[in-house]
Amino acid sequence: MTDPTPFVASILIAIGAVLLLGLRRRILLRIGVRNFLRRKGQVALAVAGLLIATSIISGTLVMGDSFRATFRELAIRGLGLVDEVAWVPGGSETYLSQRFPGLGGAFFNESVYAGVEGRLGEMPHVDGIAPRILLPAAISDQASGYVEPAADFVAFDPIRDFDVFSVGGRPYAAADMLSGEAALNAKLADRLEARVGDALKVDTAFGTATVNVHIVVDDVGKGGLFVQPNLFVRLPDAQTLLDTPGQINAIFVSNSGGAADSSAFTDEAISELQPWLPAGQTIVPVKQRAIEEGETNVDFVVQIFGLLGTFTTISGVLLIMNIFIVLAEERKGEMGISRAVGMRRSHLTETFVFEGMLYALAASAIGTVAGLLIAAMGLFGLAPLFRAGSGVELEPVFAFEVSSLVIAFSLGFLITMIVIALASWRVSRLNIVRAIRDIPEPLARRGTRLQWLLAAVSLSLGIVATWQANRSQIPVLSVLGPSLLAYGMSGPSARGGSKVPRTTGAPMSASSPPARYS
Amino acid sequence: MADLAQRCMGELNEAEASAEAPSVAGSLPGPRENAENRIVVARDLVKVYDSGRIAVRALRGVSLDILQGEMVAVMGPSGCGKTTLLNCLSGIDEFTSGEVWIGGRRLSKLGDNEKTDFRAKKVGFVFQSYNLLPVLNAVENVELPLLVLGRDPKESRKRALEVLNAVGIGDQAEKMPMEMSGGQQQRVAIARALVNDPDIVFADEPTGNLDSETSAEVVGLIRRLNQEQGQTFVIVTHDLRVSRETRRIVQMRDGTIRRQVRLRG
Repeated sequence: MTDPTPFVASILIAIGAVLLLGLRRRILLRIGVRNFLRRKGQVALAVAGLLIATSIISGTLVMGDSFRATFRELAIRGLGLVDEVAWVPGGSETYLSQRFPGLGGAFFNESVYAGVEGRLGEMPHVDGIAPRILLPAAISDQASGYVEPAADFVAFDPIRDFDVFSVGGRPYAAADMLSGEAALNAKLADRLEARVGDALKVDTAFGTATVNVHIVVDDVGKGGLFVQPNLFVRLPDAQTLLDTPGQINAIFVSNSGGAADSSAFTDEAISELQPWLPAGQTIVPVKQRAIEEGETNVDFVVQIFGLLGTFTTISGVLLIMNIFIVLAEERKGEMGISRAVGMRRSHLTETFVFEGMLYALAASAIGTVAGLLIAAMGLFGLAPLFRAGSGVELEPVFAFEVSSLVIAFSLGFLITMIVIALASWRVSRLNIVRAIRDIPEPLARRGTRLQWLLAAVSLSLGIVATWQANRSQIPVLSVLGPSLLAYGMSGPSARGGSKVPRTTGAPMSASSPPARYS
Repeated sequence: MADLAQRCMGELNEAEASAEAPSVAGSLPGPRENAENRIVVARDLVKVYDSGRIAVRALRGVSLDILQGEMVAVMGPSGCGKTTLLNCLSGIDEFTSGEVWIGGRRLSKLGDNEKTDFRAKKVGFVFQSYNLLPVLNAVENVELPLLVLGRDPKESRKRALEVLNAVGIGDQAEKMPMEMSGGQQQRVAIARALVNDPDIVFADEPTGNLDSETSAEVVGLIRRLNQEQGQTFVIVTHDLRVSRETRRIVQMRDGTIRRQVRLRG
């Protein structure tokens, strides 16, 4: 999350500077404010145009927040209270190594668990630990005939576990589950079309067994482990079935704090646990990693959106420029007369900047809120595509950080103000006579020095950005580079032509002034 | 319109021109004036409008002097360069060559800000379509030239009210332009032109949008300000009744001054 303080400071400085200017010459402030309030319909239209850039920025940031919350929710949904898992790498089971490359899942004695459990009082950041067995399994329902080849087989001890199931939203500890019985989560039950009492055949690398469905639990918390189709059996049953008496292959760890915020203590929890684990035991911060993976996905999504949004933002910026030039065009006569009676160009610019600040404030505020709608549409529109593409069961969570809104508002405001200031400066260059008599400004046919300079800078930046884009594969650069190149090459040439004669008053050398004025 | 103006000019020359021989175009207006009381001096003014394909010579070497306290009408057919001359003399438009001195300042030597400040301090403008700022009320419009110069707001307001009273619409001070008649708006415009106590007021068709009765009132007001306060006016007009009230008529044609007529004061 970006610290919004510099953004807030920037807009406060900008607003303060504009107000200071206004207080210095209140008549200009009055003209600017009254021009803003002059035509409500026109203001509404202008604001609608001006808010595009802000809404895109806001939408992109909020979309990032939402996807971040979505992936975070996915991580929490898939792990519940579980924050870390301790196991032995290099075992024959590859289930965990598939999820966390480099790790295995060899069995070890339950006494390891007991040793750690006895030290829990010395671990302020560890809330609880649970001995479990976790294996991949193929499960088939004898009644329905359906097979789930990629289910998780989880063995747990209801007494020593720190988490309980949820059934219909109510907690269920599974203390009444008997030997030979299993709990299925809803996902597995759905896939197998299994019902309570059905006989299930469980195939693992260690052997095959048959269990009966005792209950179907919700896909949340303990029941939704790794967002997989899960089958839960009592630990002794599993040890018997697998022929691993007194053995487990994982110790699940829950940190202090709730499911949503406990991963913040991962580092502390690991350092507290590690000394009590035998050599060869590894603690994997599963929740933290899942959240980090989500962040990576978010960055990707935000970058894609940022890239798409860049075009719209650039269009929005051009629109802001055009809106202000159109507003100025409408008041050309007034501006001409103001110049004639003594307003400097800078005064005209100030007047427009005062008016523009009100437009910028309104457009940025509304644009920020509009960004929420854009983000919501993007989120709920993209989630199914993402789900279909990745196979991950994303449940879109609409969320936003206040700081994102503050940053979007600030950026939108600053961009709008900068563009308005440039547009105001440009319109202040009007010719007084042409403005008063409403004569169109002649088209310049030759690039000015500034235009040539801008073109040269664009060309240079374009070459660097394109070259860098090819090297680093940064999407933003691969768009910006060619765009800058195109602008650099076409900017001045589009204005090529003969030089327009300047019509400045030439010094009168031939005729001498009257004696009094010489 | 051009023919009508020319016809009027002809009638005027015959009926009301003074016995004094009109000056040759480009020379000083008459033998009584001297160099010390000239408020505007223009020499060899050339103005070319270049639209890219066509270059129009709007002024072709105009030389003209305006004296302190004069009330001069510039007449001529449409497109003869009257307004262009006024714009160049007042410094709101650039000229291609030649030179203008106004109030002792050489216009071509002034930068944009200097010229703008100079206009705010020394020059007043009255335009055909009043050109009041619609977002400001009457008194705010009048005080605008003072405020943009950074004058004290209270003093500016006081001065603006004084001038509004002087032009006879002190009771309309708080009205917005859209709430006023054309004549009232033009009086506000005149008050705005006078508020900075200018050396000279340039008026471009000041009665062009007014009915005959209101025109007479406005012309009477300008005349009174000229006679009582010695305010210098240069008025571009097609209106014979306006030109009759002035002391001198400058007749233009094809970007040059064809002749100047001194009227009996």
